[in-house]
Formats: sequence, C-alpha cells, structure tokens
Amino acid sequence: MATTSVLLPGEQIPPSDLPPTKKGTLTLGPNLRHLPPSTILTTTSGSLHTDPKKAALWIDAPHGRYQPSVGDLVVAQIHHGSTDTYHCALTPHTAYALLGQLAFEGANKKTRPKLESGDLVYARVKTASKWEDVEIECFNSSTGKADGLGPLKGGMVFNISPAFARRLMMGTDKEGRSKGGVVVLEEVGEKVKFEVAVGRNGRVWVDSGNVAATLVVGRLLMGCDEKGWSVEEQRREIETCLRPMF
Amino acid sequence: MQADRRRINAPAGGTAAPVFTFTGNEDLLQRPTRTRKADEHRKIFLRTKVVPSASGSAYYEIPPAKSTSSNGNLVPAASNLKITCTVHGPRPLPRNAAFSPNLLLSTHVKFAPFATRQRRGYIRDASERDLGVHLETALRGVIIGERWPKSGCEVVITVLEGEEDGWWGDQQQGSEKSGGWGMMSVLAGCITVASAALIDAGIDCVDMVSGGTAALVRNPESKTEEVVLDPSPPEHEIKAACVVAYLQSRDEITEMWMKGEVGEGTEFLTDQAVKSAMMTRTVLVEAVKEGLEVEGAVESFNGAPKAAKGKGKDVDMTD
Repeated sequence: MATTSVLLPGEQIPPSDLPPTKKGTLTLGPNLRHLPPSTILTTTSGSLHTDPKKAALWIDAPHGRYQPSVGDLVVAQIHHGSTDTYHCALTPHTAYALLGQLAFEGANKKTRPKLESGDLVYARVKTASKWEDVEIECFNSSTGKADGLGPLKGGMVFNISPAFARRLMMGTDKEGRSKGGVVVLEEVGEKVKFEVAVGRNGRVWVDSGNVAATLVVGRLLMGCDEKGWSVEEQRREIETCLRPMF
Repeated sequence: MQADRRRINAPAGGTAAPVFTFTGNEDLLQRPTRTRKADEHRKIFLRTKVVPSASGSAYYEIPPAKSTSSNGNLVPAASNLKITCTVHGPRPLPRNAAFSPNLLLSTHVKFAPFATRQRRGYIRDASERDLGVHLETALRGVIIGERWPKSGCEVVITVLEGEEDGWWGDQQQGSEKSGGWGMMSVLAGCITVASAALIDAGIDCVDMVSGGTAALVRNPESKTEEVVLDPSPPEHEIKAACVVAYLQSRDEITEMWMKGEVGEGTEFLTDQAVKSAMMTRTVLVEAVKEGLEVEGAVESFNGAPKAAKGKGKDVDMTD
C-alpha cells in the first residue's frame, strides 16, 4: 500500500496516480465515483490510498461515520426485541440493525439466548445495502460455529473513531509488528490479563477482572486515538499508566 | 408574522445602545467608504468542526474592518457577518414518512434576535424561509442524494450578525425584515459555510460549492456606475445585485438570485458574481484542508496530527 495525497470533493484522479492493472479493471473503494469512460472523481475530502497488488484505490475519509459493509465485525447494543429479531444499534442516529434470535451457535426454537435491552453482542455483518436494513449474525453461517462471536458479558465499551478501529484490526506483519502502528494491546497484555473485542463501528469492549485495569486499557486506547501517539509515545504512556498498579 | 404567544418578548426596537456624542463630532457621521478595489473581497474567516456533537459544522465570519477614525468611538461603521452552520445526518427518516429514493435535504436559516439593528423575533419569518429555500436550491445541485435512500439531512444555519441593508445614518425607509441588499451577502455566506459543513460531515458531493456576490453601484459624485465584488451595503448606493452559487470544477451555477434594475448588463453582473465565488472558494479549500490536518488524514501512522491552535495562514483570494 502506498501513496497518500489529500483530495477535495469533485477532484479528478489523474491517470498517473492510478495503480497499474493486469486485466484492465480497477476496484473502486468508498467515496469514489466513476463517470464513463475513464473519469474517476472524488465525492468527499480525504487522503487517497492505492493498493497496487489488488489494483484498488479508495479515499480514507476521517469523518468518523461508520458505514456497514458485509463481513465487518461490530460491537452492537440491543435496543429492543420484536418477534424473532433483535433490533440493535451499531451507531447512534442510524437505523437499527436486525439480529435474528436464532442467529447464534446452536440455537433452535427451544433453546435461544435470552438477551435484554442494553446487552452487547459481538457480531458479523451479514448483509448491508442502502435499500434495506442491515442484518447481523452472531455465528458463522457456513460452519455453524461462533468463532468468538456472541453476547459480551461484563466489561465496558469505549468509543473510538472507525479509522482507529480499522488500524486495531489490521493484524501484524511478518516480523510481528502491528501493521496499524498500535502496540497498546500487546504491551498492556504482557502485564495485565484482559479480554478485548474491537468493533469496526467505532466501539471497543474491554473486560478485565477489576475496574482499574479495564479503565486503564480503555483510556489508553481512547488517548491513542484522539492524540495520535506514535509507537514510542504509546510505550511511554503505557509505562506511566501501569506504574501505579505494580 | 403571527404573534409569538409562547414567550414574553423583549420590547421591539433597536439592538444597538444609543450613543450620546457632542454635536460637531463629524467623524461619527461619515458614511463609510470602500477602501478596497472593485474586485477585491473582504477577508473571510472560515473554520470547520466547531460543534463536536454534530455530524459536521462550520463558522464563517467577515471580521470588522479597521476603523480609520482615531477617536475610538464604539459605534462600528458597518456591521459584519457572522454565520454558524451545523449539519445533522444522514439520519433515517421517521417511520411514517413517505419513501424517498434520495437524501431529503432540509435547510433552516434563522437570524438571532440580536443579529440586526432592528430586533427580530424568535419564530422564522418569511425572509428567513426565503433564504432557506435559496440555500436548499444551491445545495441540492451539489449533493449526491442517491447514496442515501430513506434518509434525511438537516442543515441548520444561525446568523449571529447579519449585514445591514444600508448605512444607519441614513433614514431607513421600509423595515429590514424584507429582503434588502444585506440579505444577499448573507446568502452568499450561508452557501459557503453550508458547503464547508457538508464536507466536514462527509456527505458525498459532486464538487465544492461557494457563494459570491456582485453589485452594480452608482457613484454619487461622478454619476457613473460600476460593478463591484463583495458589496458592503453601507458603503455604496446599490442599484442591482446578484448572488450565485458556483461549482468551479464543473463550471456550473446551482443557484442565482438577482435583484434590481440591470438592463443589458445582466450577464456581466453574473460573471462578476461568479468571479467573487471563485475567490471565496480559495478560502473554502484552505478551511477544508486545515480541518483534514487536524483529523490526521495527512500523516503516516506514526506521526501526530497537528493541533489546530493559533492562527492559520492567510490565503490570497485569487480566481
């Protein structure tokens, strides 16, 4: 992945910035519009990213709005239930996402999880289109296993920006360094035991045995998101925060 | 306007306190004159992200001109423009609303009661609703609505200080509540600030729209008429004025409002208003880029975003 440049809405991407393609097809990511035959325009402001391997380009817009797409892992909060479905909120002020009451591992009409209004679930987006309500599920529909999805008990949820959530979920590269540049979770995990679930919709759920450790992890994540710490700054902040506990 | 029965309103009247001065203080009674060139715009301050709880927001101000008189009287020679805009959305429409395949845009423009020399009411009156319709026309041409079916977007504009229709020293005939020349500068400012707020909210736009004004003014001594950009009504005797909302990359006008008698110079007046819109677009570009820097779009993962404190750099307004 390479090359970022800041663009404004309505700017045309010059052909020199487009990644080379093998079959002549380009994949356009979010916030780009194609006018045939060969004009590509931006629709929001942000930085342009290209991926030469996949022949893809997209605009990284730090606007803080999460748009559901199929396959995303999200932390959803149940708002209310109706017959056979729970209505869950992924982000405030948007339409509810539908979670079927049987969309859990090993659930059938006789045994189904009893979830109340306000409970949290870790789910995967099943379908997302602009015309219909978003549907989410708490198990892998092809294998029938949970794979870590399902209700989240205890702990606390912290709000982060969707861009930071994406960085947290990027994984590690070959040398074991985090690709998104965030080392908070690994470093704190060496000293404190906790569970964490990162939702692409800008929510992260943290549960440790005690309140202090949960709060420390959550505040470190929120601080890293808001202030944009580099790896060294993150290590320094982690040390200052964990010192009073040991 | 229907009477506002829910509130106990302040006495209707002026919003500026009376100033008592010695007779013979001629400085106070000087009509302000335009010190800039005919195609020069006043400096504009535009910043985004002023309201953290809204999807997008922006603040637009034309700062007060430095007073040329040295006796430091408190009465400003001309009013200035202060507009704030918040954008909420895209939000799902209520369940009982009709199906709409495109984003439903609703604009609300409101003058604060203290915004003009004559105190305004708390309920929107006809001129504010008219401004809202003009603004909606300007913005509708630039938003890509088909990405957001069954959703609505609300643009709320509050004018904290509006431009006057004329110099306060003249006898003001007719109330300010009807659309005077000041409303046209207000509309141009509203278009620019709404555009900045929409981009801040991340709503898909075809281009950046900016508002510009031009006026045909009459010089009383030389009895000639000329076209000036960004008119300040107290400084001129305005015969006709035009406001446009202009998309520069596509060379399109989404909204045009013209008032007064122009005769054959209609096209020239429109062209000059387009030139004014191109100049305000440079300010809009800088404000949007500064907003992006604050959010950290312009850095690698290890760098820290620059904090938006202190003053930004001044931008030359060129077309």
